[in-house]
Amino acid sequence: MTLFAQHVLDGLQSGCIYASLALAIVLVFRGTGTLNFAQGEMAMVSTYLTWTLLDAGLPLVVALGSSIAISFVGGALIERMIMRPIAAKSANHLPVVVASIGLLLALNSFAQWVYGPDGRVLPSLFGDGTIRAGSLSFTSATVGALGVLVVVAAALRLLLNRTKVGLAMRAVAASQQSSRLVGIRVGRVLMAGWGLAAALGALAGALVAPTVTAFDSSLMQSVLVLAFAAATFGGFDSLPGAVIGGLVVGVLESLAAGYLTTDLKLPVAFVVILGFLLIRPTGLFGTPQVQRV
Amino acid sequence: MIARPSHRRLIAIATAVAAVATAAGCGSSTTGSGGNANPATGSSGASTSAKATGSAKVDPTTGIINAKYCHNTTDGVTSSTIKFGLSHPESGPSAITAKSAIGVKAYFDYANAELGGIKGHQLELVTKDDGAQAARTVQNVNQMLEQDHVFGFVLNQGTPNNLAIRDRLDAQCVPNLLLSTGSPKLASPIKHPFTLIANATYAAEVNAFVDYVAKVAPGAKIATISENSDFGKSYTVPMVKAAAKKGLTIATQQTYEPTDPNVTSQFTGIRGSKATALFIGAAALKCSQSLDAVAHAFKVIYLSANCTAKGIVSLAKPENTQGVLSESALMDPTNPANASNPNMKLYFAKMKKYAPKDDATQSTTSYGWTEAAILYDILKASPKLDRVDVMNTANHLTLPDNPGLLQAGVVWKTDTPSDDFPVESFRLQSWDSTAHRFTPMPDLISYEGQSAQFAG
Amino acid sequence: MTVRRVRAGLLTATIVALLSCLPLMVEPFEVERLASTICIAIAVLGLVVLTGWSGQISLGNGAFFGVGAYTTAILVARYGWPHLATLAIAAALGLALGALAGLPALRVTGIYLALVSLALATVFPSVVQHFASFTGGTQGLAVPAFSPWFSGVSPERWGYYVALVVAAALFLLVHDLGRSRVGRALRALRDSEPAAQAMGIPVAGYKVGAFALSGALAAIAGSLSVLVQPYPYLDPRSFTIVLSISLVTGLVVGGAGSVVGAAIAAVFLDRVPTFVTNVTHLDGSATNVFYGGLLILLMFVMPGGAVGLATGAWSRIKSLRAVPPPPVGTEPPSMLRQNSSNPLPDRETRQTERTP
Repeated sequence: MTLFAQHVLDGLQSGCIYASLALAIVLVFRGTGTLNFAQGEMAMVSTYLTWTLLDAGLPLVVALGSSIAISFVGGALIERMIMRPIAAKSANHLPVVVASIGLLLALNSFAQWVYGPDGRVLPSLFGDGTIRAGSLSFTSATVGALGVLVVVAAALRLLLNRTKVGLAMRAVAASQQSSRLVGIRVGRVLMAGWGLAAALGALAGALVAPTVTAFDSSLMQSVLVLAFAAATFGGFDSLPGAVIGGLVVGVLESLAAGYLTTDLKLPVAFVVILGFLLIRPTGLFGTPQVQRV
Repeated sequence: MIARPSHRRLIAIATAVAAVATAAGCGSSTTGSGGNANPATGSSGASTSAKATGSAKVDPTTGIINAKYCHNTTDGVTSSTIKFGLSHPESGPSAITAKSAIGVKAYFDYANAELGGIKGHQLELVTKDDGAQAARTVQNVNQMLEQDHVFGFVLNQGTPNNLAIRDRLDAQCVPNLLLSTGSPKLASPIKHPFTLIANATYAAEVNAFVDYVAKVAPGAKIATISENSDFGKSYTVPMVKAAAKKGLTIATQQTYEPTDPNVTSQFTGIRGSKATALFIGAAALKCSQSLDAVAHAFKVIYLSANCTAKGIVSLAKPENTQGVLSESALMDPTNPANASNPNMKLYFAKMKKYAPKDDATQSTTSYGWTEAAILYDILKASPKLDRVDVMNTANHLTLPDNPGLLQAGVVWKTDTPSDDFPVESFRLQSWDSTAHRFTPMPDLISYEGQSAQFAG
Repeated sequence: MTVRRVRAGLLTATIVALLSCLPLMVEPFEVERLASTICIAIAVLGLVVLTGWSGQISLGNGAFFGVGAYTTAILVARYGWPHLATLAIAAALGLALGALAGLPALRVTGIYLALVSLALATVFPSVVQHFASFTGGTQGLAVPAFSPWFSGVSPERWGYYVALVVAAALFLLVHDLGRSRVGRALRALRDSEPAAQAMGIPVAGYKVGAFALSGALAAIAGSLSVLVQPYPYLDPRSFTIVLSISLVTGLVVGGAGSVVGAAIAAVFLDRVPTFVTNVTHLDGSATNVFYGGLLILLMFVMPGGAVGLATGAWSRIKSLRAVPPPPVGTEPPSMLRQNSSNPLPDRETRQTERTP
């Protein structure tokens, strides 16, 4: 039983990673209806930025704060300079998806080029203690990451459901044309969505990097697919869904690795999610689609 | 509006026929010019046939390759140059190992400028990125043979990568020298005479670990963590054999996928197994992660030799790395005790001259330098710069004078078919987390002549 | 009409003849690369049917490619089958697996469907690894080469010609299909599923059918990719999600709805990264900065892909000369044209059952 509990705890640790990236993916998807393949690499570059600022002598909190701010601006600029012009010219989403794949390749390669293959250590915001409860153990970094995730998801939900900005974001997500008609500046709202997602990526990187000892440019590569899975499970336009989805994927994976074999853990996690999707085609909290002719 | 498929089908058939006809037509007219591009691939029909000719090629008692079966054996040698190829990961998570090419390049530059090249030929090196994918290694090797016209390969990296190109290089009689791997699978001189590994085998490392555990912690239970791949299996399989021989039990053998974000759940299994000695057979950042995930008192923690770059070990927290064991046959460039060694002095002086921008204290770079020095000695000992001669020399050679940065007492020796493992001795070393380097133990461990039996 | 047919036939024959002589002018290594370019073209052709026509995105066609490659490799290496016979088995297996992968499409749509295919791509290497005793696992699998039936032909050229013949047949077949009622039904499905249903198109059958055909084409491409190598070797790391994603990238760069686009896509995918490496003179780690940047730039310049750009330019020239538009039957299956009457349909109504 304790072993089972420990596997679940381990799963939550990986789950935090998936959930944090899934949140960012969902934010962009809600706003623009696009899958941003570069989300993970944007977060990775932000993490290098945090590390660079820390290395330059800034305190960790200040370094992270600046990195989040810079990432927000960077994300907004990517929307304005790259994604929006391409979307405006395209007949469907495919060119935007390909542009985001281009961005993925470019950012990953850029980080390898600038920082080389050596790993970098980013200290945890929550110290590096280990918490023990009976025979169970987990790191304070994991607990902190879980806490931050829940707080962020709740804050984003509040932002979307209780503020004017949030209302505008939801309106744009529902229909850009109608939003424009009621005087919402759609462009700014889209930029804000991408900016928020990028800022979230910077935070995610700072939470994830300490749990992997040292990070390199592959920090988010294997995470991306699982974050997509998490977002899908959660319903793709639901923020709490993304967090729950991430944790579920993490736990599924950990249990499959613990009780089956490591090489089957991905198949097991995906089969469970697929089975779930067949029962609920729009995920856990997803909005059912309305079909119009 | 409705397409008439019959017409289409007709055109399809017509074009297909046309294609074959044209192909046959232009084919027969140019076989003369195109045909000699790869006469050596006469046996290329199948890898099975390559195996058959492979055994006929080599005398099973002396291990000498019969030159009769090889063609174009001086490809890659011009009147003034000899060219070598090197395929390794320059991108992706394994890219940290690409620094060894810096050492090779520096040695080549030094040999060209100050030793007059090799037998009057300037050494050239072509490197290509394979991202650690075997299929890309195959492509790189094709391209380097046919476009760059290399003489042979040196320090090609990775176990699956070298297995992928082995049959082809055997069939074409192209030396694949000093592979950067310790997989005993790649040492089978009679079947595959053109392949020679560079490192002490992973199996020898495992035996050193087991012998040490049996000595300092008799009755210990062993846990291993390794990659879920053939690379990982080259530790875990000999471990079972070696532990049984010494009467030690294996508590658990955990594996991870290279794509796993962390190794937490594997260590949950290791902690649950109540093991007292840990063997980490990982690669790159997974080594650092494993060290940090330990957080549990083991009597012995051993880190496989390919994790020993200081850029990997020092990433883990100091309290988790103090006293961690590993193995090396090379002198550590960061150890002040080696500073007065003439070979070490030469290394630093020439690195400063020929690779001034690169960090000479990286153990991967000094490893590349050492292997290039060994390659130079092999070429020097070979009667001619001919692929068969070079390979016959490499397979029957003793280099007693510690080329490159080989430690005192380590003998580089091959004698096919009885010995296809050039490096079989090394020293254990333990990590000093205040000095950020390994301190070698005084005793030389020698498994000379035993490597072949270690493999499971 | 018949004049046009003859002209088209002659054009195709000329192209094929040119492609037939190409390997005689280059080194064996280049021949092998050209042959693998042909294989990639067939794989992208599968996506033209699935994504370009029926509007269902697949991030998993790399897995079907892998299934084809491993089918041939295992049958040849372990059971001694003749190479060409395995091509048929690979196609059948791809067809069946494609149909199976298409079944969720009846229930799950849009971005959720993309995940189904993504799962396939992610899981495939794990499965290969798990059945290591059969597939060779991470160590990979060496396969006997496909030796020529005639003497005097080098193995590289032989592989190339076989691939070329298969590709020519498949390209014509798919081109035909695109103009038949099947192609029109699939496009109707893409533009509006309820409308297609109302017109009496059996939506479910066509959806699954598109997946099946796409899977078969990808599997044939994978199988051929083994055939064309003079020293065939497979390892699961060649068939990861990266392959699937690059196929989609190629599809869009070539021109999503077009058969010709698939050929352009293959040349782009195979040549451009190497070209970038050679031009920039940088090591492997930096190459993708420029390749990725180029992809973004291309999407700026030609969101409709190369074919979209060409047809756009062509229609502009035509309108300058004030010639009436060509008869409907000759219209190339271009995505731009299909959607020109209905710009950004999915962005406005967020009907996510379209391509995400």
